[in-house]
Amino acid sequence: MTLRKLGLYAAALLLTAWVLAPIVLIALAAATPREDLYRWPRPLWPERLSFEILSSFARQEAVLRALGNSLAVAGLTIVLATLVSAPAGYALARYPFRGREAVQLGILATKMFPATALAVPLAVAFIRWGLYDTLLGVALVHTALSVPFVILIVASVFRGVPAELEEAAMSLGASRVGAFIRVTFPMALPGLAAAAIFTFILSWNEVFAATLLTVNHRTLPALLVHSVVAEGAPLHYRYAGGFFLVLPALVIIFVIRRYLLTLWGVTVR
Amino acid sequence: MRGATVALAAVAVAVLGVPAWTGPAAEVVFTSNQLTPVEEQEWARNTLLARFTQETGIPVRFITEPEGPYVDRLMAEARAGRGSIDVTGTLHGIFPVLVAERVVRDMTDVQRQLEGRRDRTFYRDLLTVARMEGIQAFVPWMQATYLVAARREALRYFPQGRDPMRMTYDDLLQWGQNIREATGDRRLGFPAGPRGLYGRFLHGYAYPSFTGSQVKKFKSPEAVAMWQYLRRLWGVTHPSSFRYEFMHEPLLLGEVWVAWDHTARLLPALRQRPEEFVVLPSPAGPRGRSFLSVVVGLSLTRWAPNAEAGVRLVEYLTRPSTQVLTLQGVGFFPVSPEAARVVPTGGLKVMADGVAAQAGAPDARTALLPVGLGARTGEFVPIYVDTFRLIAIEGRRIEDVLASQARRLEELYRAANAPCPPPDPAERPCRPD
Repeated sequence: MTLRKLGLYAAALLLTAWVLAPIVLIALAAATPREDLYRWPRPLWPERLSFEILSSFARQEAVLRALGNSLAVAGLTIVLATLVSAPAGYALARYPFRGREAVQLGILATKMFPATALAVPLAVAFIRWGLYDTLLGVALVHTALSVPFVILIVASVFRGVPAELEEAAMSLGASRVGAFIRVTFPMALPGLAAAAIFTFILSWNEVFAATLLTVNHRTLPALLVHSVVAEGAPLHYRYAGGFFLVLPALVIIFVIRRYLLTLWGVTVR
Repeated sequence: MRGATVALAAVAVAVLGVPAWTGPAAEVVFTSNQLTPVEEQEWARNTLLARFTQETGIPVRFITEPEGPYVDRLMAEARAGRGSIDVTGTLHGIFPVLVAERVVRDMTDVQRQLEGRRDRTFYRDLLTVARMEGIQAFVPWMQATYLVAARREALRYFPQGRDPMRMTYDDLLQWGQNIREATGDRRLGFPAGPRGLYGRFLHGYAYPSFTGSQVKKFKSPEAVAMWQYLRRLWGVTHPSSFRYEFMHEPLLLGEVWVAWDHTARLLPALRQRPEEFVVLPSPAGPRGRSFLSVVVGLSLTRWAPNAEAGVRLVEYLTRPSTQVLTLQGVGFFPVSPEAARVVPTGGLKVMADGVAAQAGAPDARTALLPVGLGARTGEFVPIYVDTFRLIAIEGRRIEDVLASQARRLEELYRAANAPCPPPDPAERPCRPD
């Protein structure tokens, strides 16, 4: 038993290191003073730490505004995506109807179109509709990008809630809506929360639409992508920017990680 | 439950309310794919454009981004027939796309207006380059080139009896070998990293200097001889060159002693320690001393919501004193002789001397960036860089590589129906012999 346990722990350690190592390295580099970054060979562990670059990043008004924009877009995307996906997912989970498989496949097929090919026509349409350079416009694109996945997740969450419980509630006098609100919804809530987190991360990480469709209302990744990966961005900018992108997502995932376990509706029962 | 719904609705309202707000009306929106490095952006906002705002009271929103989104944004606004961009500034090689997509207006009137002020003229050849499809696509804004910067101590190893200001490709190779023999290190450097500009060296410098052509003689016997030379040159080049992007960094670190790069990418080193560096013209080959001239121009969009203020911005940016400011700030050179007369100091003086020596050399030959490849412009340089990688780094047979890469080049030019770039004759479509 000990050998097996040892192997298990070793595997767990390896996996953790695999995920954590880049984050630790980028955090260390972000906290290394500018002149030490350009020394060669650079020590793995910096001799002294400085939060000067990071704090100068955080103090920039544009960064804070973009952070607010990112949160707003992600929040709006969650609302829109849930409004579209929850009924669709429920229908796919509960009602056997002709062509259900085809519908499910059709939803996924929308992911086949590369966003790059749609970029210019999309921007043209948004300018005409007055959605260009608005947070709502970006949120709409993020919703469209996330809906196919969210529908699948939500459907599997609802499938995890036994239909018998809903039927029992109805036999005790609840209406269909009442049964859904009082029985199914509370049981599906952790799964729905997980779907919301997924939507959040997708929206948070999206750069392409957010860059092309905005001028003044940039999200954080759209703002930082130019200073982080742009031509000739100095090293210290790249590390600080990268760290700044990772940090909020890390905090949010840390807070809601227990819901993540229910992402595929396994532990609802 | 109800609480949650209300909260969600509140979030939605709060968020939806935000986009209704737009900036002050009199703002000029200025986009560019130049000045993208963070420090240059900062300089443009806090110095260059801040002075304009101070003078006129017109705020400028400066958006600088990589070529892809930059062009996409202009095209989207052009197709929608309206948008927010007033002024745009980019490389001469991108303007044909903007003219074809009906993005920019004919700048002839603006040009006349500027010349009517009698404080500036523009170099004739730049104005010739600005004419496309019967219109003047842009007003020249600034220009740049690529050349060689070297640490002074490296000059000791320059081949004896030869003049660094008249350097040939053989001198460069011998120089690298001398340094290697004396110090045991490879101290020549090229920006062959992912975002480096080494590709420009291959198509605009080496090819025309060795073959007298950028495209037509791509797989000629002269080209084979050139690739043999480049292979030997790579042998005395610093092995980290394949990751260098901006040569001022290794030059300052002392990792590299002799480096070729874009003026703006060498300048930080010269600025920091002007007394330690010299700037030399690019080398000459059997067919002359070829170098690229990079012209950046300004134009107004057809739909500019604030065209009047846009014209004022163009006037300000092309003013001789602003051109001098631009040279001092980011190392782009003037497009007006009036501005060029101002003699710079320090690192800029070192750079300006090198630029003058390169352009004024008796064997100088100007090559221009390829024009007319439209949306596929970005595929041109990678063909040369891939060829280099296959031949010099992977050691494949030169003739085979050239034959297969020439097919890519031919396909590209046929698809775009584009003419050969100078010094090749302007045949359309251009085709490697």
